Amino acid sequence: MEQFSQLLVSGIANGCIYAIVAIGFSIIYAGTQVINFAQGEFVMVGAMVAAVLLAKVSLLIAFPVAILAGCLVGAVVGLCVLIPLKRASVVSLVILTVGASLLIRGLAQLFWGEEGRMVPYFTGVTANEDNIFHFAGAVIGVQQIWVVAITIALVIATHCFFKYTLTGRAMRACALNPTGARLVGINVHRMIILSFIMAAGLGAVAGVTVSAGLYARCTMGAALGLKGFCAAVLGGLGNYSGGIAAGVLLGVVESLIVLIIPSMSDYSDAAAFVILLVVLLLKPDGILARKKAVA
Amino acid sequence: MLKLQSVITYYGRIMALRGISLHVDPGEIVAVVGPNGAGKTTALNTISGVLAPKSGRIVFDGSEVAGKSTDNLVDMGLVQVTEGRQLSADMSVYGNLMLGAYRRSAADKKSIVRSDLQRVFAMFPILEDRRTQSAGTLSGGEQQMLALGRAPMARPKMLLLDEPSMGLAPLVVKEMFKIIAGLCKQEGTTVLVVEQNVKAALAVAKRAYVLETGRVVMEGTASELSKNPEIQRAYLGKGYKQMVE
Ligand SMILES: Nc1ncnc2c1ncn2[C@@H]1O[C@H](COP(=O)(O)OP(=O)(O)OP(=O)(O)O)[C@@H](O)[C@H]1O
Ligand SMILES: [Mg+2]
Repeated sequence: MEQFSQLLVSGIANGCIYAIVAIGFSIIYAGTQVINFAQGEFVMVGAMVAAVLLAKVSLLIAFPVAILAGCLVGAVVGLCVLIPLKRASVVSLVILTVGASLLIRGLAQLFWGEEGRMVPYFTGVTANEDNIFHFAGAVIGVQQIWVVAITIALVIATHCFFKYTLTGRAMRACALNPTGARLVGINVHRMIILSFIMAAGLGAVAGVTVSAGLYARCTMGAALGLKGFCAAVLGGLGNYSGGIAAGVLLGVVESLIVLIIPSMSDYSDAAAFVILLVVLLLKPDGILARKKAVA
Repeated sequence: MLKLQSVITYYGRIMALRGISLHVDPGEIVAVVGPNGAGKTTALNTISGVLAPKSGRIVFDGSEVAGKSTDNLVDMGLVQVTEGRQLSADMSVYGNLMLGAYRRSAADKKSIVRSDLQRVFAMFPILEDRRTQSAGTLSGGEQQMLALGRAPMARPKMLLLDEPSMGLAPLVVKEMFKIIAGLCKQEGTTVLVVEQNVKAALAVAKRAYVLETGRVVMEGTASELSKNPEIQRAYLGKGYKQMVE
């Protein structure tokens, strides 16, 4: 029981990170039909910039700067996708994002080297007793509470943005019907860049949050990007709530699988892909897909 | 208000507009008619910046606009209602109408936009009944009304309408053209309207152009054209009636 609740807690925390990354995938997919494989690198850029800055300045400065850096990289990738958008097929654009991700990772390794950089906990120097809560037999670190709180805040903020702000509505209109959006005077290209900036900003937040208490590495983006991608696809690409649910679920399953198959502990990364395969075979539109009426 | 001079537009290597010249004066309703595939939609899309012309001049409100982007033109007060309606299907009727005011919402007060919304609801009461329904689930005719109702939300100086009567019941078509004439009279909106329902179009328009295979083949006042035997035979169906009799 104790082990179960412990695994559940860490699963939820990891799952939250996948959920944030999944939202990023969906925002860009909705606007462009492109699966942005550079999403994981946005996470890495956020984490690395924060890690480098945290050696000198406090989190209050490092965190916003890391988000800005992520947004900047997102804007550049967005421009790279936008320029050939009309002429190129979606497949070649996806490959372009793969290229962009390799380039970003390469440049990061060139600048920051291979070794991991320590990122301290958001609050508290070490994992001492003050920073730990006991709940249902599980030990919950303050950082895990931060992860969940930040995720909830981001989800609510994203939801309100798309639902209640004019720019959010305009972005949705672009996703639903680009031609119609143009006709009411929305600059579709600007909205596409904005979707990359938002996705990258979210990714950067995920990156800083996930690395706290651990090491940030230039190579960390690939795995997190793929998990987030799995969550986004499981939830149905472009379906935000689906992606969030799938992200948390994925984190939990990945964590709990050790209870059922102890030997999986070394391969828990593979769990995500096995789940993805099985779900896609059964429900190709994602777990939350409603049955669509034949149009 | 609007002037086209020898405008040529291509789709890839297909020449769809073969040098079109026309003009619309401020406060006028001008109709464009012609057979399917004549290039009517292409002409409107070229004016509104959805397509870029290969050559020729387009002057709107005193400035050269050929090749300008659609959002710039909406800013200048030129708004198009397309043949395909182009609504955001998953968004509510209200959401779609508010999107119509997208370019103004930043500058104008909420209360002004809201009073415009009330005016649109007064024009199309059915839209008020359906305000929370998603646009994609409206009937074809209701969608057409929504598309037309969305345009005045931008407070345009000029409207480009592509087949506003499409899919509407005959009685509603009459109502629709009354609303268009009302917009022109009360707000001074200039209108360029493409129509298959030539009779209805000539009834509200002051002048008209006949387009065939990418060229203007005839132009004149609405009353001149509706008396023209060729127009009567090709579009008004009088010849057909005589043939039957
Ligand atoms: N996207 C496109 N690509 C290639 N050719 C096109 C395209 N759109 C239209 N055309 C061609 O251009 C010509 C003019 O088309 P357009 O849609 O302007 O006609 P229209 O006068 O609006 O016809 P309708 O009354 O049927 O709406 C047609 O021959 C059509 O086949
Ligand atoms: Mg047409």
